[in-house]
Amino acid sequence: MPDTYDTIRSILNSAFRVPDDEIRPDLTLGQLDLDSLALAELVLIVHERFGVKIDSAYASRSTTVAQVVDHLDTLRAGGTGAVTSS
Amino acid sequence: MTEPVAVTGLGLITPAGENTGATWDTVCRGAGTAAAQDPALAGLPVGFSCRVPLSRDDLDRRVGRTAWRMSHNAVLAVLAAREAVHDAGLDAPTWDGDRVAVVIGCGLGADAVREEQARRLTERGADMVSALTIPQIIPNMAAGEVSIDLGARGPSLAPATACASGATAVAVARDLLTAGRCDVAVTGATEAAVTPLFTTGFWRAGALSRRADAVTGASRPFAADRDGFVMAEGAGVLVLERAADAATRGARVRALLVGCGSTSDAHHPTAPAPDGRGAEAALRTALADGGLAPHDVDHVNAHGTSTPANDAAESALIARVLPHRPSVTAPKGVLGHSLGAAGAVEAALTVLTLQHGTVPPIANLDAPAPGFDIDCVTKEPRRQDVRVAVSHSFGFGGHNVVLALTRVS
Repeated sequence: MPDTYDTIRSILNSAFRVPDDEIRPDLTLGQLDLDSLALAELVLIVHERFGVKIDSAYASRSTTVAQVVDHLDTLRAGGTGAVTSS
Repeated sequence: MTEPVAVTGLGLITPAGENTGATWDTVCRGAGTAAAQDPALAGLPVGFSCRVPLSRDDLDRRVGRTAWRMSHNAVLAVLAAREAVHDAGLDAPTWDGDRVAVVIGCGLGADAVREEQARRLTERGADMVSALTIPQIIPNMAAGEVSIDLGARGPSLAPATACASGATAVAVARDLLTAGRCDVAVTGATEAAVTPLFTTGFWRAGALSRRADAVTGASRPFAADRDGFVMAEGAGVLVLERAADAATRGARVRALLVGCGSTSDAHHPTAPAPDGRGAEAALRTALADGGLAPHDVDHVNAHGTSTPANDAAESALIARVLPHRPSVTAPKGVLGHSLGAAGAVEAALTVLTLQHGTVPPIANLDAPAPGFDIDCVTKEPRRQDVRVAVSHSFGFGGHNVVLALTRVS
């Protein structure tokens, strides 16, 4: 689902004011300055946008953007959404 | 008599402008800023308001990365505080933040957040309630965000005295300075409460103008045909320092805050006491605090809400205590009523009147209502050598706060 990354990128930029040119798949949410409040809000926004809820293991400052995207693609495809290493 | 403190910086973001200069220019033009058909108020009995002239996106861009977590009232406070600190010639990254206090009042808080999240809880369940609900709603968070933004680690307070909150904040900040609890006080108030519930609540209380067919003329302080106030938003921030400290660092002093008076009517939740004794005591206390007598007052920035009850009581107060007819202005004719923020916004405007020797006119007023024996400035700004000015603020709950300010000689 190639649109997932673009949507996450858009959420990070519009909802959390992360500059577009600072967002990269290999950066962690912590490196993008998302704190605990932002992570909780990210879960809510993603739930609204995709209709699936990020597993708490992924709503973490150490999770990369790519991991979140992969996890969401798995959830959206009806899979388990298990954590994978990058 | 209390040691005077210097006002060394101002920051304003109001329906009249995105900063202090723009606000002052618009207020001096004396035209109302209300806009019809506020989208947030669609379908309500009163659908017009006064809004700041910047979209939330524009405001967020100015605030930067942290804006995402802030309620609208906190965003306004942060921007006004930054302007005030810059205006004071202070540098937040390098100052001794342990000695900087933040006192930012708020009358109502972030009710737009409360209304939206309550709706989410009811309609969509607990998982759809934002984690920001509490940090955005609590009325002290604007003060908290200003403290964070400026690295101000001294006392941080958020007085709430309804529509007197801004003036209360300034008075509390003055006390922190004179008690030696801080060396710099960043103080004022913010409000962004033009929400469906609060607007309807004020309408139900009979406080709002219903002049929907001529909204820029709806707020008409001291006019015979006034019928209520217009909901507004905004923030005003002043930087205060002990006068001796300001002189030592060579700061430009815009005016001196010489006296503060705070009293309570102990009479009724919303109606001013008919005898006006509480408000009179606040005025007399502020003057005595500054070593001034009533006949010293050259100018009154009236609370002037445009409600029948307030303006009648305030006109009688001014005529009784200040019979020598000092000039009177009432910025809510232009700005609407920004509720908790109004006292701070108008304290800042009073500072500018002292500094520039100019009294802005009251919007939508040809002459005071019959029986109001006060010298209202109308139509055009009036050039006046103002040496002593007072700014009145009164709030639901019977709060009366008066600030006395003097020109720098």
